[in-house]
Amino acid sequence: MVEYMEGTSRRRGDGAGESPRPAGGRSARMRAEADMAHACERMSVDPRFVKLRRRFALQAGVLVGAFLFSYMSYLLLSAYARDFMSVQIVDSVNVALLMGIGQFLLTFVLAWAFGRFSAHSIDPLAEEIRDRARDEDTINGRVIG
Amino acid sequence: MDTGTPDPGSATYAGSATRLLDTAAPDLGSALGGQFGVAHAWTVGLCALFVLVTLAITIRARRTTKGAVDFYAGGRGFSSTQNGLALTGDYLSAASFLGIAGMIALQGYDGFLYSIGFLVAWLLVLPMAQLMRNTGRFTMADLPAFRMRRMRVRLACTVSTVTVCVFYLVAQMVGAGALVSVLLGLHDGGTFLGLSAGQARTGAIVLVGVLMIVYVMYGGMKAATWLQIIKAVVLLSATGLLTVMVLALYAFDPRALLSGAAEASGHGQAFLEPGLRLGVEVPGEAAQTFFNKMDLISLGLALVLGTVALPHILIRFYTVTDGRAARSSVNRTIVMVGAFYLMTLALGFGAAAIVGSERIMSLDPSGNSAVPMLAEELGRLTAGPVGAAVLLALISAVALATILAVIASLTLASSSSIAHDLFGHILMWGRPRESQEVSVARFSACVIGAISIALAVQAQAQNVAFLVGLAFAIAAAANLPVIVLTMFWRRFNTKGVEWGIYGGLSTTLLLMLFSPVMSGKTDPVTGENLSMLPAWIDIQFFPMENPALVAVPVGFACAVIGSLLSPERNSARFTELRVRSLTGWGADRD
Repeated sequence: MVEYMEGTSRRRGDGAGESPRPAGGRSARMRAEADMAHACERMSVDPRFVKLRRRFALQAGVLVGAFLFSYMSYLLLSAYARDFMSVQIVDSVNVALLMGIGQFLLTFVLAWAFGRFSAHSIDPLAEEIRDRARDEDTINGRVIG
Repeated sequence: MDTGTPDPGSATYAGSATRLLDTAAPDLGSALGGQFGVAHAWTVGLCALFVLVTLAITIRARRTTKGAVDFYAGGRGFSSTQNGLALTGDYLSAASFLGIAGMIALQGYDGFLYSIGFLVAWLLVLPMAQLMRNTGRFTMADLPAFRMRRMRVRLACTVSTVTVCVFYLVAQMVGAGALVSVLLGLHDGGTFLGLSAGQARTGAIVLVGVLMIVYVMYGGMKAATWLQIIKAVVLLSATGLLTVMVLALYAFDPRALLSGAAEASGHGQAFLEPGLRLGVEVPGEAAQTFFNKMDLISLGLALVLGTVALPHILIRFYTVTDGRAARSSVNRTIVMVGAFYLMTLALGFGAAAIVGSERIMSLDPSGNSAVPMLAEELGRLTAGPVGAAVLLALISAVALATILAVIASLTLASSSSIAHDLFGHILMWGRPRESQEVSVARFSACVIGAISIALAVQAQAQNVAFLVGLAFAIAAAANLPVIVLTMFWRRFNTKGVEWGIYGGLSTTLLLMLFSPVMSGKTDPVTGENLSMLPAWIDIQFFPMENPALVAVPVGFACAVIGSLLSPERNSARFTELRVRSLTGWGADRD
């Protein structure tokens, strides 16, 4: 099967729809891409980036794990523990209803906590890495950011 | 306001009124009955006002829509509060407003189970929003195509995007038709200004479809976003108003409301417990009970896993300035969507307690008319016949605005995918002129709109909840594996994308074809055929109505196996994607 790469296979000047690119545009673009790839390679081993990656993985993992666990146990309880769910606590308010409202509250709390942790530990680190990368580029005489 | 035409609807109404609403005041008839009453005039007026305001915004949006970034992503200039509102508007379709409240009114607790799934799903969107904003540009295909710049990747993503959008679109438009016929009281043979129920339904579908084409073609993402923002504000305030009115009737004591609902429902305490509709226990049939319960879990999974992969939700993250704004807009959405679903609980139980399930069922057995009926009853209790007419008109107009806004976003998502992926990157080899691409997007919005109008007119009798469920299931089985593996798996490649999307898509469709929804489901009491196909066709062998429990793992397995079968790997691009998605470096270049 023929593999077409996006934006690279069309021969220049073979049709009326050709976009007006400056001469040598393709090689310049490929060079810029190679530079970018190199810069990313360097950034990815930067200890600060590793720290950022670990923090994000931990945070997202805790969030997804916590909500999947609570949601799945809620679903299983409503499917298989009907007797438990129908225990009445006050008047008509039963366990099922309280657990449902609990899912809402848990969602609010988890979302708030995730936002807060991200703003405190992820965003500043990401910004620092971005700024440094931009500085390095300016020193090298190129402007990427 | 009565037109005075001697139509057969009045006679039908009089019969059904004495039969079903024996204690109701006569003014109820003029509103939900077959004649052109005060409420209809108000409804038409309010709808016209909404359409005029949104059209004015569309024209304004057109003036500032110049290039592709404006058309697809609204210029990336929306704030996180604006985008949070727009996401809320996108997500709260008529299925939520009328459908879930109606389900709570008729089946009690099991309707609430839906709203929990719909809300909790956003916790999966929360960590992904930032990554998706930083990686993509305009469509879902941009995510995998960042790593694998192959046209086949784009093609696969376009196929799944358009499929999900069209199913969802048809569901919403069928819903619009059904809503209009119920609101005009045409469900049992009445006429409205000389139109029969079928004609009014078709007319509503065509009208809504044409309006959505105008919004999208003319105003692009900017118009769609403002439409959503207005709709979200209107919807949340109307729901809030009704909630306060319901609670006020019970002296703000939720316990009294619950007992009232349980009593009036005829199910007693079982109304407040799971099991009336989902995961029903069939005595003596262990296998059937087991599959019913698995079905409940499968539905829950589809709701939670589908949301993050819905194309029209996904493209909203491209309208904000950066990843941080994308994340905080999801946070705001969670608050608003959560508040909305809590209020639907009050509306549903309120409808059960105040209107009563018998009257709701008599108008529409699926329960979609529960909220309009509740509004009318509340208005009558507060301010007499005029109050009833005004409140009913308000809620009907809000419901129609809801449908209109959601279908505009869906049309935009699918036409973006066709123009940006299919035309821009496949037909034009990734080098289209920007103006060409935007023209194609406008044209394809027109085509998609026309196709969905035609499909929706054909599918008028279909069950709306089934179509929405199918859209969520396809999104969860076909799109989710690709999005997740693109972000987190180094070995993922072109073949994996193709296998994941086509595998997940076809598994979902096949399981649906062989499920009880299509054939082989009969009412245990009356023996009546409950499936879509005629009774003599029985191809059912998959026992569940919701395929997600099987289809999502199959989708993931296909994506992984496909990747491992192909030697292609591009570690450098994955590194680049990871740096970019986490730090946002380079994301502001395009």
